[in-house]
Amino acid sequence: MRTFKSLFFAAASGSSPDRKILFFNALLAGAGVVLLSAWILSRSGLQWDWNAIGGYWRLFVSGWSTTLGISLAALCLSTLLGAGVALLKRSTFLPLRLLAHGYVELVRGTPLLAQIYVLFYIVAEAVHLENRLVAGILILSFFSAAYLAEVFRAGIDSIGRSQWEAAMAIGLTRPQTYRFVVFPQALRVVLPALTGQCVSLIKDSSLLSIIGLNELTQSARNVASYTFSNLESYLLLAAGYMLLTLPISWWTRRLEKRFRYET
Amino acid sequence: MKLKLSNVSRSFGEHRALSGISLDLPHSSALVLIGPSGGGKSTLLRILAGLETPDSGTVEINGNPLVFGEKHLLAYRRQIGMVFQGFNLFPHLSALDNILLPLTVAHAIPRDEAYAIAEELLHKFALAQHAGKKPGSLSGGQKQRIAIARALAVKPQLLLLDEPTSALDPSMTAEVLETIEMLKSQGRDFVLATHEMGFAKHVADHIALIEEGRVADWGKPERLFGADAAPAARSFLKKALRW
Repeated sequence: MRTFKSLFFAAASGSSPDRKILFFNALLAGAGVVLLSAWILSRSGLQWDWNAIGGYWRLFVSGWSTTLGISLAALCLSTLLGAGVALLKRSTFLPLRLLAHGYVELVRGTPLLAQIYVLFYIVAEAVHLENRLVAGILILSFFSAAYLAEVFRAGIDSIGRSQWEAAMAIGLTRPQTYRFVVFPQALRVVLPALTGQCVSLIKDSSLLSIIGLNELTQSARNVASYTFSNLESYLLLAAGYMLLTLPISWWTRRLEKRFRYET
Repeated sequence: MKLKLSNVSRSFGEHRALSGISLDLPHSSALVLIGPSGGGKSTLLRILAGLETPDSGTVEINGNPLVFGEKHLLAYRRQIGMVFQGFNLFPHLSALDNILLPLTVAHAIPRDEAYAIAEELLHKFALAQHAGKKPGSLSGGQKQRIAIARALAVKPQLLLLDEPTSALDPSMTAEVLETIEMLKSQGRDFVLATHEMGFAKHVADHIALIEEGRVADWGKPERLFGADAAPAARSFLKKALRW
C-alpha cells in the first residue's frame, strides 16, 4: 500500500519513482501551468488571431527546416573543430597552444552578434564567400567550437593520471589511448554540458537572421510583419525551437543512463 | 629472467628517487623488492615497465639493453605486464573488455582469438562469473586479479607488480597473494614490490632491499632474513617484523 506522501515525494534527490507516479505528478504540474497561463491571458485582454498566420505555414516550415539544417551542420562542424582546438590546447608546440587559447578567449568573450557582423561583412567578403547559408553555418560553428573546446578540455582533464599510465603500460599509442580510454570516459563526464551547448547552438542560430538568412526566426519575423500577428508568430517560433531542443534533451538523458557506471 | 642495473639514477626536481642503483641478477624467477615507502621501489619498477626514463645509467633485461626512446619503449611496454597498487582498471569497460583491450588494440590480435585467451585467464583466476561486470561492481581483490589477468594476457616476458596488495584488506590480500604464488609455481618471471614480508620471504628467489634510492642489500631470502644480512637490512626487517 502506497503512503499518501509517496504519491508526491521521491525517496531522495537523485532517485526517480515509477512511471505512474511520475505521470501523475507531471499532469499535476502541467495543470498548474495551464491554469496560471489561462488566468494571465484572460487578464491581458489579448485578442488571438491564428487565422492570419495560418496562410503562411509554408514559410514557417521552410524556416524551421533551414534552422534544422544549419544546426545539424554547425553541430557536426563545431564538434570536429572543438575537439581539434581542445587537443591543440594540450599541444606541446607553444604557438599552436597559445593560438588555441587566444581563439577560445576571443570567441567566448565577445557577443555572437558582433562576431556575425565581423565575420560576414569583413571576413566572408574578403574571401568572396557569398552563400549566406554556408557563411552562417561556418560562423555558428566558429562560435560554438570555442565553447565545445572548453567542454572537451574539461572532459579530458577529468581523466586521471593513472588511466593514462595504465593505457601506456599495456602498450597503447597516444591516439589509441584517446580513442579507447580517454574519450569514452570523458564523454560520460561532459555529456550534460554537451547537451547544453547543443541546445544553445540551436537557439543561437536565430541570430543569423541578421544577415538575412531565412531561418525560423527570420521567417517568423516576416510573417509577423505581413500579418501584424506578432504574438502568434513568436509563440509558434518558440514552439519550433522547442521541437528541436527537446529531443536532444531526451536523447542525452538516455545516453547518460546508458553510460552510467561507478568509478 | 636476468636483470642488470648499472648506476641508474632518477630525480624528480630536488628529490632523488634513485641515486645510482646497481644490481646484477644472474638468474632469478622471482625478484621481490622490499624497503620503506619513498625508498625508490616504485620508481625502479616504473623504469622497468618503460613508464619512466632514468636520468642516467643502463638497464639490461634478459641480456637486452633497454633503449629509452619513445618508439622502442612502446614496443617494449607491449612485452611487459604491469600491475599497479591502485588496480588502474578502465572503469568504463567490463572485466572481460579490460583484458581484451591490450590484446585487440595494442597487439592487434583477432577478436575471437583474443576472446579465447581472455576467457581462459578468467577461468584460471576463477573470475568467469564476473566477466561482464564493470570494475565499480567488483571487490578490491577481484579488481586486482583482473588487473593481473590483463597484464598476463599478452604473455609478457616479465610481470611487474607494484605493491599489488597495499590497497586491500587482509582477506583480499590473501586472495591476490595466492594468485601470485600460482604464477610463481608456473615459473613465470616477475618483479614484485611489497610490504608483505612473510610473503616476500616465501615467494622470492631473490630479495632486494631498496632504501634511499639504492640497493642496501640483496640476496637469497634466507640470507637477507638471517643473521649475516647487512646492518641496513637487519634494521629495516627488525622494524618491519616487530609487530
